[in-house]
Amino acid sequence: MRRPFALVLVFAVAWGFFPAFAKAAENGEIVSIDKREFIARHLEKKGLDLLMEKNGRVYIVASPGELASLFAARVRFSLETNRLYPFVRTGISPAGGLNGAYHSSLELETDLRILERDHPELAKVVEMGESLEKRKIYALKISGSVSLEENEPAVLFLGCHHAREWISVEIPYLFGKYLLDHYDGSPEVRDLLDHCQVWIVPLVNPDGLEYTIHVYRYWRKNRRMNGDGSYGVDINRNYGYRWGYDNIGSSPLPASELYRGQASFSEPETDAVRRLFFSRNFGAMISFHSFSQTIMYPWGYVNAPTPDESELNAVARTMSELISAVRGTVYAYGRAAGILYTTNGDTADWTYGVAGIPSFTIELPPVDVEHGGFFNDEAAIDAIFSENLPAMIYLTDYAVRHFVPAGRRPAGREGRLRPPDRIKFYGKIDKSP
Amino acid sequence: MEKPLPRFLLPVAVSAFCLCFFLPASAQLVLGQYEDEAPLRSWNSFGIPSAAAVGLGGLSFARAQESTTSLTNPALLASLSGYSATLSGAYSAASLFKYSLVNTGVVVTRGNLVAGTYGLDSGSLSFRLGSWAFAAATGLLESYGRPGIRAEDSSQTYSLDMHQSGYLRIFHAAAARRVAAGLSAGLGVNYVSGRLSRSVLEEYSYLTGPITIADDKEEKYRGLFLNGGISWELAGRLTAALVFRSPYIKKAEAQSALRYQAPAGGTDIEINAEARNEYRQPWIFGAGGCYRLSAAWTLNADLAFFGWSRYRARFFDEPLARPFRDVLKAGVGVEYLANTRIFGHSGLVPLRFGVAYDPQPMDSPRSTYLSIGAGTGFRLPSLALDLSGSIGRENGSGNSLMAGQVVLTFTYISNR
Repeated sequence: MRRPFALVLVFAVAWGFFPAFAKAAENGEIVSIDKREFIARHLEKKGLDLLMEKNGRVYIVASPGELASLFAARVRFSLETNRLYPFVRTGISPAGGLNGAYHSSLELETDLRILERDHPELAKVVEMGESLEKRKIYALKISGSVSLEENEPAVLFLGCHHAREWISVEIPYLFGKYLLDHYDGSPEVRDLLDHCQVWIVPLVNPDGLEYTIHVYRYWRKNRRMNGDGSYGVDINRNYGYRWGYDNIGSSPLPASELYRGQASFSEPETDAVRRLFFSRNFGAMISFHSFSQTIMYPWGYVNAPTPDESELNAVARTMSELISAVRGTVYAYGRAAGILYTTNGDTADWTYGVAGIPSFTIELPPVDVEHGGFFNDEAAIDAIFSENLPAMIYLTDYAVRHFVPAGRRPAGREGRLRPPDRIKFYGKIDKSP
Repeated sequence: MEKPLPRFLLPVAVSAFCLCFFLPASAQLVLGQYEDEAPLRSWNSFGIPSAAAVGLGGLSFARAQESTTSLTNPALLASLSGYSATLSGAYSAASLFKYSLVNTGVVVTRGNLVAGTYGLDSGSLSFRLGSWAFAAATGLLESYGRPGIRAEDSSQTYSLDMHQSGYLRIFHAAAARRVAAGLSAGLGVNYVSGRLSRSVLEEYSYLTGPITIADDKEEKYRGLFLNGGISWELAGRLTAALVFRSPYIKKAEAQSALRYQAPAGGTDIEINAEARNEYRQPWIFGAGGCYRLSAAWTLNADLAFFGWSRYRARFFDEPLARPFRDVLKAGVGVEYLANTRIFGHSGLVPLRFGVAYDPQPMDSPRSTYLSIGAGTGFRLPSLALDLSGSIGRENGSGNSLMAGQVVLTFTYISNR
């Protein structure tokens, strides 16, 4: 009688393992093994399905039989399936889940990797930096020959500085996808990408976005613990041009929605954008936000014209007309501080202020709170993208047409390129009130 | 003449000073006791402690007081005589600081908030058949309730309501057998089911009309796992026990609905999602001892290992960041039995005192509850009524959280 009972007990203990390996029985588990051990034991010769190698660990897909072999060989491994499963669901768009058709941080990373995988000649995912909660901030570089560092203009499209503005992730992401999907079929897109680099950062604020998905939909800032019980820095008030110019366009109070941080570029998110910006010859920039259907150009910190007011206004007007031509949606346009409110330490003031490039903030639909505020119907994503597409292509083309090659850089401004007629403005801009 | 300080001290001091500024950066993640799926009071739940167990430090692996012990160590059933029935009621409370949108950036409180639950905690039956013993039990294993929040602005043009409630109930069946003199083994099968619902409702009053934003999430849990153990009576005075709970996946059918309504603009936007969430619960292993110092005095000591580093949570198709570590929970208790006469019958009055050390699994900040428990009651040959309470204070999070419970257990044991 003792033996059957012992067998039951052994079975029971073994059965305890079962749930953890249930998935292995179906598809195989993702496991990671220390690279040194992997090599030392010549596991690479066993035909294991190698996924990737990262931080000194080798990631493989192991069938139940292979897992048993690893056990038998006393190889120490970690189950990674839960952590990494979304990354290997390649071939399908993982958008979905808690925030519907909008991307989460992980979904976006997966989709950017898919674009890179599907268009290896044209697209490259670049890790720009890391957020406070250790999420990666990604840029997608798109160019006719993406692996080459060519002396060509670059255009920057940024999304989701503000966590709750979910639509602002989708528009730059879809623009990248559109360019890649149409490179072969559209002479216009091919010509554009053969002459420039398009840099897309759909999600500047991944921590904030995750907080809006999991905890509170209307969160705006990043997730900085300010030390006084409040959280978050408004990272679109944390850039270095006229940072903290007054307490109206940003706030020194940590609890404020407009808190600008303790110093300019104090946040890893803005620092990542800064490092990317100074590493390339950006000729134009759009930072997407929502809501109000508005195209704004500098200055934001003060209601005064830049020396390029007329040119910036003309570009904004053209973009507005292009948007309106798609399905009649009206985007107002004008100087930021005049058309909306003053903002200091924002992206467009900074990129224009330090580099003199055409810089715009586009507030996407809806037009007001009664039509959704920071909400957009999932079905509206494609329509909003479609109406913004001509404007984005126009601005990219504008940057190509106004590009100044590296050989003609003005002395003393190495690393920055701008049309010669802009140089005279730069000094004036720096001395603005 | 004063001896000059060693030259290396200055750079060391400067480095240490600088480190003080850099170290807090690692604590950006708001992980804590009270993630949405965290049980109220402690992550380390193993079985449902009866009043006797609570009075002895919370764990009771080696001592059979009643059939509820089957939830942790079914082997102890073999030491119960005849048949028994146990019913427990409990009031449990815990203070919380950071949870959901409270004190994580949206709603700020002046201090900790308290959540409490009360009700029938557990019920169990057991009976002996020769060398075999069997038991069935049910009870409230975990509670996910949180203090509700309602916030308004002074002009009453904006309000926010947040609620979370939930529970996990256990259904347990077990068999045990005395396999040798003084040696018993037991095995239990456990099915858990429950739910968790969380809602956040915001209402704005604009001149043109109201705007509401509603965020509702609902999960329905189920899971199946085993528990088992052996107990061994050594030298008449000492009983030792080993126990385990198998890892299992707490599965959840989950739904989410996010809705924005602005009737004035004819706007009604909904984002709905469904998913099968998974929470991989880790192994638990435990060891316990019960030493009878004399007819009146008994000493209990228990240790439980929770393999939280293997905990994984998958929520709406994405893994949740839960950098957990394995922890050891410990409890020590002493019981004194006083002879007395109750209603003309001779009986016993137990006096119990225990302490528990209950570290929580979060890597950062480290957080540990230190609890004391005390209890009493009376025991007649067939009936027992026990009342115990415990109170614990948390260290590590900086919020001085408290957790406590009061448990009343009624037990009938036949002597046939």
